[in-house]
Amino acid sequence: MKSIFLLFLSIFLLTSNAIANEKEVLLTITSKDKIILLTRKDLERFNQTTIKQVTFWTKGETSFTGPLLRDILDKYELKGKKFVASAYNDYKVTIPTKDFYDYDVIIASHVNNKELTVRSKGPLWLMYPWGENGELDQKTYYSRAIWQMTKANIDD
Amino acid sequence: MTKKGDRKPLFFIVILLGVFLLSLISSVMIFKQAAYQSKKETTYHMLFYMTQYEYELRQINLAITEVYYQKNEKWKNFDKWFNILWSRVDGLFIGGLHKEIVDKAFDLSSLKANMNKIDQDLYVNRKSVKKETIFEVKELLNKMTHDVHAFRLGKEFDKRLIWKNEKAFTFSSFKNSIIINMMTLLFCLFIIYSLYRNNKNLSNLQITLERRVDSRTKKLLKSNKSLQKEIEERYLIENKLRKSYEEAKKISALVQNQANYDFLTQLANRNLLLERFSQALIRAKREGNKVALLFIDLDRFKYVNDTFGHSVGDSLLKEVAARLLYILRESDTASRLGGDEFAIILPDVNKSKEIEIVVQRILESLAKPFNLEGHEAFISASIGVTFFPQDGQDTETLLRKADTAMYKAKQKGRNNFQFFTNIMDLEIQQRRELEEGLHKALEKEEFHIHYQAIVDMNTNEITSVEALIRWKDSVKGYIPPDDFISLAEEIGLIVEIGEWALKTACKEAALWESLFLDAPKVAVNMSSRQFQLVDTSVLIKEALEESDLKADRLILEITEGLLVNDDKKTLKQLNKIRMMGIDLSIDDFGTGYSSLSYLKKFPISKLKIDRSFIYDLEQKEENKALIKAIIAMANSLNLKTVAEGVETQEQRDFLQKYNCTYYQGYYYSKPLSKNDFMALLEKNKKKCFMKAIVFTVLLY
Repeated sequence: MKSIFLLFLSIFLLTSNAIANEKEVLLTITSKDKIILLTRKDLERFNQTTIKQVTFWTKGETSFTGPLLRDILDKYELKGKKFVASAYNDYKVTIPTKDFYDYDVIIASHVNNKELTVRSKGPLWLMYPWGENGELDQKTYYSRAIWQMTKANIDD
Repeated sequence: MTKKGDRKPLFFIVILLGVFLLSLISSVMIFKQAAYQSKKETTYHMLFYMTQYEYELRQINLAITEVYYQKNEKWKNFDKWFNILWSRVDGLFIGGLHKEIVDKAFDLSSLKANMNKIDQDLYVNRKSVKKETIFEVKELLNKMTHDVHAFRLGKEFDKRLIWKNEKAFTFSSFKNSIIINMMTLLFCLFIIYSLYRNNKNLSNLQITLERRVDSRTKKLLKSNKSLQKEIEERYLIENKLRKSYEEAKKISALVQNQANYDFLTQLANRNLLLERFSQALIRAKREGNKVALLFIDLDRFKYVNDTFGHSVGDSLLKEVAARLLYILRESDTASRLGGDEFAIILPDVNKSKEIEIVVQRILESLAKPFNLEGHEAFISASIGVTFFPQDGQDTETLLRKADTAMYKAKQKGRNNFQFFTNIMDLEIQQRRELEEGLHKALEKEEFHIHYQAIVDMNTNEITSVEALIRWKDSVKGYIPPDDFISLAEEIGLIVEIGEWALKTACKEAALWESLFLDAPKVAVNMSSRQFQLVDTSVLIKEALEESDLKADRLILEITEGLLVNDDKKTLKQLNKIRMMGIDLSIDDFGTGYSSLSYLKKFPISKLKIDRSFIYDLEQKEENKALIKAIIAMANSLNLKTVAEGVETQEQRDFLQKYNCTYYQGYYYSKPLSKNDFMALLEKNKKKCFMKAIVFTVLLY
């Protein structure tokens, strides 16, 4: 109980601290024993990958830029079979982590070289490269491309 | 039972096939069902989207309510949700998602207007936002939420209906699968039933079959016994057949033998000779050798055959064959061509001298006496020899030429041999021409008769006249009788020529008789062949009757040869002729056989001493002696003598001195044509008349 309380406390402190701050936390990843807080700068430090493709939600061919998810998981040594992502609007989706190793799945922070905002389905948008891989072009993967992502939990 | 076992796999296959077919049908149905469900997915997705949207709207309602009651302290939450809402509305405007449903669910223009209005009202100047404005926004958002909820509820209802349909569909699928299962069961049952029935039929069939086989086996056993009997019979027949086949084989070998070998002597026959000869020719051509062909004719065989009988003749031929084989090499072929003719092939010859030796040995061997069934016989042989390749290229030619050479050898005198020469061929050619001419001569009246007077040695008067045949060929002129008489004899034409000559001479003699008081007798030559071929007595009778000539006016001149043969037929004819009162004289006496016994035996009245004795009488003392002896002998036998070919006074005087009765020759007269001879007779008649007158005058 104590640890959970501490956890919440730390989140609160960090978030409150980050308001109107450059060090605002965009993504929180939790696992059994870790809490990873990632700011925009943290994310930009990773190698950036760009996926150019047409989607339901954007007009024409759009480029999505951001770090590969597996790079993030590898860097923080986050292991687990399930990746449960949550959005601002409380939407949740469970993604098998295998996806990130099979495909170049990114957390896009820029669309067409513009920073994503909440209004443009940002600030983070999990994106599958279905333009490159035909087998991804189906509903299951569309539902996994979560927008306005803020949190994720890795679990077995 | 085995049949039932064989059917089992088939049964399983049929069952498996049925099950497979049915499962295929059900899988097709399930697939169809799945396809239907995938169609529905779009609707589910949309409903999920709408739920999310409604949730976001509720949240923003909550946030605005908070703002409304607690004034400006809760703006942050509202901002978050408003941004979220904006992102969703923007997304709708992009139109990537199910346009037809979006169009149904949202009034996009009013939605955007609403959002813009809220933007205008709340975000232009946050500080001066009035409470009424917030309320208005609250009411607007509330209305939007209400609308979405209403739409979603309608869709929920649809969803429920779909679920119901799905249930019904699932149920019907279940029902169908049960029906399919039942059908499968029925199908299986049917198959099992039919199999069972089939089995039963099969077992029934088997029982009947076994019964049938039983009865058939019994029948077969019976027929087997009869078959065995038949087989035994067939064996017997087969044995008989084999025996008869063997006999046939033997006979065919015999026939083969007969086809190639002479039955009597076992020498090769003509067929085999020709075959061997052509083989020898082929070999000789290849090796450049000569081949000699000997044609052998036995002299005097006919005499032996006639005298001692055919069986002796046959054993003579056998003995000849044996002697020939003894002399010959193994590579030589001796064959009998028929009668007393033999042919011998001597292959691989280098010089004709070698052949001469062989031929001499054959002649010597065959000249030795034959002891045949107690008789001792002497024969000899005449041999003609031809050589391949100089005398001819083919068997027929060589054989013909060998025959010619043999004939020539025979002419030369018996027990002789002759190599073929090209002159012989020429002679043969001439002979053939002569033969043709001879055949036509009678028709063409080319024959004439010349007459030569035979004169009394003492009175010098013509007592008789010899009729001599002359042949004047239209092309060749006069042909000597020596050249054609022998040919005519050979080919038998002598009969017709002799008949013509006899009849012509008789007519002529009859004419003389009618003209002259002291007409001469006519002497006609008769060939021994004539005696052999026809009954000359009949011919003479006919000639005399036709010419009305008295028989005593005719003299027949015959040769010694006719008498030597000692033929009964000839003797009979001669006796008849003599009985008619016709004189017989021996022509060319002294040239033939020295046996004189026939002179007593035959009814002869005259001897004509051959011209060869007279010809060189003056020079040869021995001829003189012979003539003296002949005349003396004739006188002692009461035979008259005629000297032929008297040409000189000396000859005439010598003959007269030794009491030769008559003479004939150029000294007195050559042979004359009938007209000339008539003229001679006329002259003599006058002389005679003159003499008579002188004699009468002297008397007086």
